[in-house]
Amino acid sequence: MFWGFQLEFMKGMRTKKLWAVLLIIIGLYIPVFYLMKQEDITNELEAIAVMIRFSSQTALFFLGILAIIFGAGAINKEIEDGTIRIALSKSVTRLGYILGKYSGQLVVFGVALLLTSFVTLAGLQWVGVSVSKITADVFLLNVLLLLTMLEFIAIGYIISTFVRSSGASLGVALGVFFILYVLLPTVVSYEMGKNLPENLSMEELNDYTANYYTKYLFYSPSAQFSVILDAVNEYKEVTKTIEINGETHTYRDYTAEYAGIGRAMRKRAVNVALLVVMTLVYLGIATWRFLRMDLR
Amino acid sequence: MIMITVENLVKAYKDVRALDGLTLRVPHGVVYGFLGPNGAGKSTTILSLLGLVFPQEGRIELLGEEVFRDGKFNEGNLVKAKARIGYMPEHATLWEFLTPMQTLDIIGRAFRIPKAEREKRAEEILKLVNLWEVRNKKVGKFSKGMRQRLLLAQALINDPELLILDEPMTGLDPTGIAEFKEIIREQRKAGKTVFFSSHILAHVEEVCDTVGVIVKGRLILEDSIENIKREFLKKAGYTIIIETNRPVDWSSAPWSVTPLGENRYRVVSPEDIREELHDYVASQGAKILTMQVKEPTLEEIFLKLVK
Repeated sequence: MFWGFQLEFMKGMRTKKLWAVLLIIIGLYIPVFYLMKQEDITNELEAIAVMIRFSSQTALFFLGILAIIFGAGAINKEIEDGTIRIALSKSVTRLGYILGKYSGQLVVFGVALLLTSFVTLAGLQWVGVSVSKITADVFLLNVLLLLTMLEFIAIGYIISTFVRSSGASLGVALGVFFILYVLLPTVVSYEMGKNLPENLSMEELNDYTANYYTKYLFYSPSAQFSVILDAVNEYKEVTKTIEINGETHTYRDYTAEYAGIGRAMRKRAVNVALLVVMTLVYLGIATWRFLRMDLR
Repeated sequence: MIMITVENLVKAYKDVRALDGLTLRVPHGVVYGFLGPNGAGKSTTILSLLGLVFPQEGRIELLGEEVFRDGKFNEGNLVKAKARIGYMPEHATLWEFLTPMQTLDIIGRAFRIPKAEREKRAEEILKLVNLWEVRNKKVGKFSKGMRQRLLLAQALINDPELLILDEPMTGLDPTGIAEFKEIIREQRKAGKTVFFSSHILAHVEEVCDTVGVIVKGRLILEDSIENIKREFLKKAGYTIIIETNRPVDWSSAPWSVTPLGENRYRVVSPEDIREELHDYVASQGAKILTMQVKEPTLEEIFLKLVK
């Protein structure tokens, strides 16, 4: 297993993988920091809220595509090039090779996201935000992003072991990504909206959504990522009054208080666990297939 | 010792039977030429030996380790056997972002060769395959011939007892081919076994001791090149070209004789008649000046077999 890891890590560091991830993130972050500076956001909680919003939308989208594409070419491209025949003619097992390869990609993405955390902190400091209170959250956010990426890579591995042509697998990967990222969450949200009970508080609504997404989108890494990040705020109910035509009316309102990514991960521990478990399930399917496939 | 034993191996891809009960044995210390037309099952055989494709039936033993039986590979034995094998695939690229030194280093790690030994082996091998001068150049910039040399180099890093080469000379220039043949000969001298698939029969004829011919997934012939030729001559007949000191009357000769020019004749017989030919010519008051038995080339034999 260690040899497969060494080979993949070496590939990751010497090819464009790591740099592609970094460049995409930095390329996306620069405008965000620039906008924050323009808007004069210097409060750390506001700043982390912007980063979370950015991560759950733009970064997740681009990195998700990148991860599934990397995974989708992991095996079939090596079969096409013949490198896998060289690798597996050596004193290594298939199981060790695929697990080592996956671990290598894990570390490459991990390094990229670790560097991203530093870039984020540097960017926030440049904006003028005091990062001491939110350093842990920036790292946790990237850990969460890493877990999501790893699940996408594992889905890519399944595609790579079932679709022989690396060109075709790229198309399949994009199709699967669209289904998992857009189509199914839209369908599930629509169904949820139809059955939504009335008079739910914000916390209850969040929990209701989380339950729905856990039940019907447990296989979608991006959906689980969003559900977890939805819990970063704690909502407090306040009763407000308003005067209309001389009459005083009271109504319910909510104030959002940032509670941290650690709190969100604890509250949505099931969803964090799902990210890990489903990664193992997907990787298990890909491994099962790899152990049986002809590598010609 | 038998280095490769294959018994009744069957491999089908959907409805195509690539190997149809293949049986072969490669003894220690020989250069075994594995011949066959395109699609005969040569590459499938090699891939099966290394556990890269899954046969459905049969048995494989490599260097005394039973690696496949009853539709299953024994992964432990396969890994043990692969540690003593070098394999050079057909149509493969190496990692383009690595240099030859880095390539041999990472492959040497797969065999758990200590660092100092890896470096020493890499230097020896790169000098052997004439890549030492470009040891620090990226493989991505290599020509086809250089890539082939590096493919051979990676197969030698673990000093294998059995070297499996799949169409190794494809894409090489004449100098490269000559060097490759020399390397194969050196391997044999060092007591190594070489299993060498090719469809370029002249190469096989020059370097191999034993030949196996596979057609439609079955081994239809396996013997030394000498025996194959002898047997072929027995079946196809001997063609002897002679030159005499004066004209000979062949009217009473029991063989088919064709005049080729002044006092030159081609005699064809189902048996070796060299002695009888001397006697016949002498009985005619003439003398044989030169005699040449036309040996069939491996190519002629192969074409006949395949047909």
